[in-house]
Amino acid sequence: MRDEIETLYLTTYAAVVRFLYRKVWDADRAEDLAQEVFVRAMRHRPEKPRAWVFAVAANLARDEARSAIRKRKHLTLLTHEPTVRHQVEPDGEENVEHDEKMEKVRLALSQLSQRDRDVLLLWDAGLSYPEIAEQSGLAIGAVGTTLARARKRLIEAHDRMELEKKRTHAAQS
Amino acid sequence: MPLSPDLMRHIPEEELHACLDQALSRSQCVEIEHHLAECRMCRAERDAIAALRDRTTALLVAAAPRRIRPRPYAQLSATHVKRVSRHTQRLRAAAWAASVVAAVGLGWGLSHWAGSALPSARQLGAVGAPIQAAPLRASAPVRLAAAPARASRRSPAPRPERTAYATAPVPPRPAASELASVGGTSTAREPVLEGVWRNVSWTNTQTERDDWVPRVEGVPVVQVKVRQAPQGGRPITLVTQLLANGEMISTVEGPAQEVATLLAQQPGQSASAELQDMQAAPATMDPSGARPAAAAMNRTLAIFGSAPSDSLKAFMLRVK
Repeated sequence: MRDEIETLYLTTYAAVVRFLYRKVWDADRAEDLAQEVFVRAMRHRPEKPRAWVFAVAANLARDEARSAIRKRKHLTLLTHEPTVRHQVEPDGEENVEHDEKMEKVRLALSQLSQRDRDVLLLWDAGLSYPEIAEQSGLAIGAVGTTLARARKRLIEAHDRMELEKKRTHAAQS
Repeated sequence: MPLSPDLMRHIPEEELHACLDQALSRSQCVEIEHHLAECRMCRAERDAIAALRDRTTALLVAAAPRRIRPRPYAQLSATHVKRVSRHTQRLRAAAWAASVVAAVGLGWGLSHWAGSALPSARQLGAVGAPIQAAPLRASAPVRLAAAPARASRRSPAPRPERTAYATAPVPPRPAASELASVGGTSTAREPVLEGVWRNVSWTNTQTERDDWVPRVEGVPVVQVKVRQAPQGGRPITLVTQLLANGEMISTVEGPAQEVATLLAQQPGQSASAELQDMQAAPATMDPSGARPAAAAMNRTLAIFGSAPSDSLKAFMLRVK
């Protein structure tokens, strides 16, 4: 008979990795943090495991971002742009296309406010409105409003980048 | 008559988002669906929001690692078990350290408590039999307290040592080495004696002397030694006593020449002991008047020891 945490691990691990990846933009690190989340879940045995897992993942990602900022302060040769580390070097056209898409989404997400981004990513991870409200500190009624704004801004930001890219290509050709 | 769809309240945008996200109750959804069936504007808005929602989902799918390879659950369990055992070890180490600290603290506390309670008993045990053999007179405490006051009247300079001897309610505990010397393992503070001296018990001393033994009243007697005088007559009597601070003083009474020789043989002892001619205080020396005055003329009373000379002078007053 499967353990409750084991079932959660099998059904939620990929969502947790995706959620963490959109915050740390490092696939290996996202997987490491996801493992840490589930090891902690084994120890704590939370009452609402799914919401708990994403709450802990968000906290770990926040700590990771802080430590990255601290490291960056000590390094003088780093560029101001965050680097997206690839698990496999892009060697084919498909990979290049995937990386371009991902970079656009990353930039579009970075243009959202912290709250809008968190609510959007939690919704995409499959959390319900009450769970999102509990984790983000919003009223349940405000989750819909925040989510509507976040979706609209994400698409607008992405479309702006697409438009600029087309203009650049047109200018080059 | 039903209202025209244009006059009805349109559904807010966030409610349409919530409806599409299945975040509303069944009755709310039915109500919205009923409105959408009649309101073309809200229906268009709902379709736009659905497209926005689908595009958002599609964009976010692109922002994901190319490959997600979950490790076997057993590996996670092993990590968890290892971490729990490490945590248990830390707890045990902390408990062990805490118990050591508690034991040391308890031991220190007990020794501190015992140290504050024991000194008088240890001192009494150290001098043992001589104290029992030399019962204090009833007036001894009064004389102890009175002696330094009399001394301070004679000399205006402060004399802390003598005051401590006389008035301290709880005397400081003597050091271990000093207690050892009392027990006879070291003779560093005992008087250097040449010639044939014999130890005499307190009772025998009183019997032999038949009158008065030279000593400081109220101070425990460690030993009494007697040596025959070369010219015969009353022997030389030496009484060694233990002060509250662990130091020893010796009171000697005998022929002046013999006492002077004895004092000259005491290395490291305070040489400021005051010599008193017995002729100066015949009444004190011999209250019964039985001793011939000629014998008193040649005898001397002296105190020596490692105490300061001021203290020795004060003790001399108490002896007299």
